[in-house]
Amino acid sequence: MTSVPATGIEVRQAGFATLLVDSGRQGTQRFGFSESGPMDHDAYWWANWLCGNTPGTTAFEVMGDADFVSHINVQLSVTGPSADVHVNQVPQPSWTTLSVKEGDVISVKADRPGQRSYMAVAAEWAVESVIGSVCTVSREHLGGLTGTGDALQPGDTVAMLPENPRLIRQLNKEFRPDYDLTAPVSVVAGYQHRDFTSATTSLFYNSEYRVSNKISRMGYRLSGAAVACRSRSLRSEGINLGAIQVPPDGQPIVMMRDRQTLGGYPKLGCVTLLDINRFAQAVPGDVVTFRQTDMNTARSAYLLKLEKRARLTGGEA
Amino acid sequence: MTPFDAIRGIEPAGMDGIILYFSGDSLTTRNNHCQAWEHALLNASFAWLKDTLPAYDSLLIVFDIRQVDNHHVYHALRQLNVVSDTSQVEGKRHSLPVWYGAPAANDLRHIAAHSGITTDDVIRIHQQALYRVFAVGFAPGFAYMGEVDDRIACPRLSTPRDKVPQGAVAIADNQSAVYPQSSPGGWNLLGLCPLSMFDGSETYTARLAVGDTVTFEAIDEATYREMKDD
Repeated sequence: MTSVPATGIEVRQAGFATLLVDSGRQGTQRFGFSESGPMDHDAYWWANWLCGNTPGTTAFEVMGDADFVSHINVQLSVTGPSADVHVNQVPQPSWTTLSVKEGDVISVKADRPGQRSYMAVAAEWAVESVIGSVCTVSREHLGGLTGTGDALQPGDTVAMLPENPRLIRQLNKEFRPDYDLTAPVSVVAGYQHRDFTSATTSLFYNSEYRVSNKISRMGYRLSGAAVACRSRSLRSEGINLGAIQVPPDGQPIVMMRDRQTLGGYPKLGCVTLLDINRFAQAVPGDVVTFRQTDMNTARSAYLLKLEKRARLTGGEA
Repeated sequence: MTPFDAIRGIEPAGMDGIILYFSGDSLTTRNNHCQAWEHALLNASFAWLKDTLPAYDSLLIVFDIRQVDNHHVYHALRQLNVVSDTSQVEGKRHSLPVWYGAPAANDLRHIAAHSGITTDDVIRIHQQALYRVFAVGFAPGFAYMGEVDDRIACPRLSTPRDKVPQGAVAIADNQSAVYPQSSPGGWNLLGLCPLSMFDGSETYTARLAVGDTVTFEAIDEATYREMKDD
């Protein structure tokens, strides 16, 4: 980028939280930096594809009702399990490339409150990375528009240079990610799984858990059948995405994108990369169940998913 | 996956991760193994290696599952040339001031009750030990220090708190730490340290590094307010 563009897209109303996201921080968890990244990586990925962007391009993650004013003529796209998009109060399709003009107002919300939507823009974003990413981690005071971890505020303008218009793309319903929560969420057993009795493990996999209202980008606390672990004291250790940790009260917490890097509660395994995005779009009160899988099966299914995506998109995955 | 050499256990950690647990007579030995293995892994510059998360006596390895599976990673580990550094790197020495019992961070009575001693004993015993930094993680600048005297060791809270204040000095079992930023947390709080643990605006570096040694020193509220980093 030769010079910082003077203008771009302005946030008029930020809703519950509007954040800048990209694919997150890699290789720096060893220093304690949270991995971060989009909560729903699938919807984020598709939003960028619809704009013809390289995977990993910055996008907006919207929770609540957000309004943007475009100060540029540009293409953009909005995705999410219940994404609702209006341009100048006229309804527009989600999961497709839209063209907006200077002065247009883009309103983004989710029909199911609490779900996240993604708005990608076919542009070169002029946002400085901090520790290799623009991802906003408020707890670490890191990332975002000013680098200090603040969510976007009304009046903030994100500078960007529009790309030349590209072919309009759309993703039909049948090819969109499946967000149905009636299907169980797959889990690879691991970590301290041997410290849970088989009765406890089977209780976990055969019980319904309600997503509590204590959910954040760090972790989702569930409520349901208490899961007891034989080992109580444990030295803090690395936590991977989707790790299901069990504090002594037995109520599982699924660790999400902005999780801390190390922690010491026993863990019975991890939600797979296949299901973590679907799980991330659960809202308080939703009921989830879990099923056990193994690393090989999960990997095969994941590679198959990427292959299908590559076939749909003509190569990119 | 069968353990070998200094590795006493290997477990899956998600579909794209495995965690190694190290053996050794002392925590320091296990911690040295952990650092040596991480060092060897990073030096090998594997294209599939996404993240390494070293802790006290464990190392989480996150790999790119598009490129490799866990069997490939295991095989690579078996081939790895690890030089276990027994000569412990001597880090910096730090003395951290603590306003014990600061109202915003005070679980002293809970710890005392759990240990069957007085709150003054808890404060005294916490200051007696020379702590070593075994790992940095949880949050940028969060240093895991050990080992806390068994007489005041106290398990994590049954339910983590939504908010622990910045600078909170805390213990969980045999570990001690200072919270660099306000965050959720499940440790028992002893008081507040006025010094900044992490420079989050210029250098993004932490005060404490792995291998450093730390002592804690009691200060009063007035001294805390004078010393408080902005």
